[in-house]
Amino acid sequence: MKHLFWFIFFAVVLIWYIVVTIIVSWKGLGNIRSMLEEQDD
Amino acid sequence: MTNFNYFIDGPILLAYLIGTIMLGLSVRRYLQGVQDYLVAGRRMDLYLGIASLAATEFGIVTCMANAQLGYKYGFVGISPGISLFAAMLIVGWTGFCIKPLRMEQVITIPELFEKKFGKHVRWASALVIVLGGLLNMGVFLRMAGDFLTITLGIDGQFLELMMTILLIVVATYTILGGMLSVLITDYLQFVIMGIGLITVTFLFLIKFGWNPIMNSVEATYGSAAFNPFIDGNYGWDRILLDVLLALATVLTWQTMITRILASRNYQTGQKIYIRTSPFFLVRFTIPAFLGMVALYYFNSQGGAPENVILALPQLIALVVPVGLIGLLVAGMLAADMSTNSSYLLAWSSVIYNDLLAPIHKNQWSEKKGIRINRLLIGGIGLFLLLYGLWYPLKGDLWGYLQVTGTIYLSSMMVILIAACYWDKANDWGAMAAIAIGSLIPISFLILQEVEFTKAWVASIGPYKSGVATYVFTFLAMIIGSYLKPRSL
Repeated sequence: MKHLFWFIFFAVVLIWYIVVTIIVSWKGLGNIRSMLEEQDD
Repeated sequence: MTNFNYFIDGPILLAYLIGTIMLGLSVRRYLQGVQDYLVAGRRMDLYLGIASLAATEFGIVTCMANAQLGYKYGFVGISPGISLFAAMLIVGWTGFCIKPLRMEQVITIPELFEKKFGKHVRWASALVIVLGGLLNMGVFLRMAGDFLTITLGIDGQFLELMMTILLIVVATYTILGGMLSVLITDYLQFVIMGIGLITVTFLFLIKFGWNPIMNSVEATYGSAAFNPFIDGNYGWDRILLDVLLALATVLTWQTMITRILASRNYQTGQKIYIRTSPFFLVRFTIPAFLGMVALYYFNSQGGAPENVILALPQLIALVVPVGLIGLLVAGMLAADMSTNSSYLLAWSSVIYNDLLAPIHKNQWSEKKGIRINRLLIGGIGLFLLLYGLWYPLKGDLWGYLQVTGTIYLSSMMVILIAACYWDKANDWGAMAAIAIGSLIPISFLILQEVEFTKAWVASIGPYKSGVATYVFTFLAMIIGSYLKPRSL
């Protein structure tokens, strides 16, 4: 594998992005619901 | 030539656009006043804050600018991303400036400055923020228009039409729904953008392979593409400017700081910064990698565009297959719309809250306040359309963004730090900092167009000029503050 350091760096960034996109997408939906419920009050 | 198919990819794009508009408009009924309109009533929670900030700061312009950095400099091109990640993490962790700022319950940074330095500093700060911000944003529409005409395979003569359509769609839900619409649509855009980017990254890795791409970058630029400490075409002056700019951006860039000001409390604001910081690595690393893929592709196939900024859209148009290209273009459009909506709102809030403060004196009704903000957004949109069409972009897009951003970032950072932590800071120092901080970059932009001074300005370059701006602005704050007689 050429430029192993950058490969590991790139892989870590990409995997992090995938994991966090899933978590933030899921939890963000809950945030939206509670924010709009509060606006309704 | 493009792989975009209007029968398969077209409906994907249309569904996304219609969905966004409907979603953005659906929250209008929740608007009760200016606080809801500008900062979503300060009810934004952690995960929505992260999605919104990540989506806002990752648009087509970011993608193209950072792909250009990867194309021209290899992995060294992600230096601004590393600086931003580190700055955001440290500022979030320590609460440096952002904690006192959030505790003051202000809507904008100039509002804080009035409390410490008086009305004149507030007004002057707002002026440079709007000036720098609008010049910075001036190229967004054009870049997005370029991206779309290439990926959709539309003739270049339709560029202005593409720009106008984009603006109308974004302005519609921003004008009508304000920050609430922006947050909700940002969330959708975060999800779509993530799917598009991740998919296309895997596509290129599988199709071309890591080693061939790296071989191509190394063959073109040598070891300097992988090691910033080797003399190459990136330069120490550029790295230093990246660090200064990163700190100034996380402390004072209006669209970022709005997320702090809109959060429930300072603790949530700090957490948003800490947890969003790695996105700034993503924001540079993935587009830079796509830029390196473009370099590899055009090195092996030929046909590289004359203007390197267009390499990424060309690559997408030629290589990404039908179906996926629709999703990716929707993702890029999502990214761009979230950026434009947040930026339109950010600059209109500074104009309304600060530049117009001497006129309304906080006496206008909520209804009038919302109406005026809507008019301001429309006006800013028109300016962007006209400016984007005629300004001749020179050099790197990222270099232009750095210079125009520095018009306000340098002085605002210095004044904010002084306002939070230096008792001897006063309005003389603040005004001196604003004057110097804007004069140097504006002069640079003008003088690089004047025949007589072009060559001299080119020899200094935007990076040394940028660093000098920060240094002289800092000195102006200190000297100006000490010069003020105690009796005043």
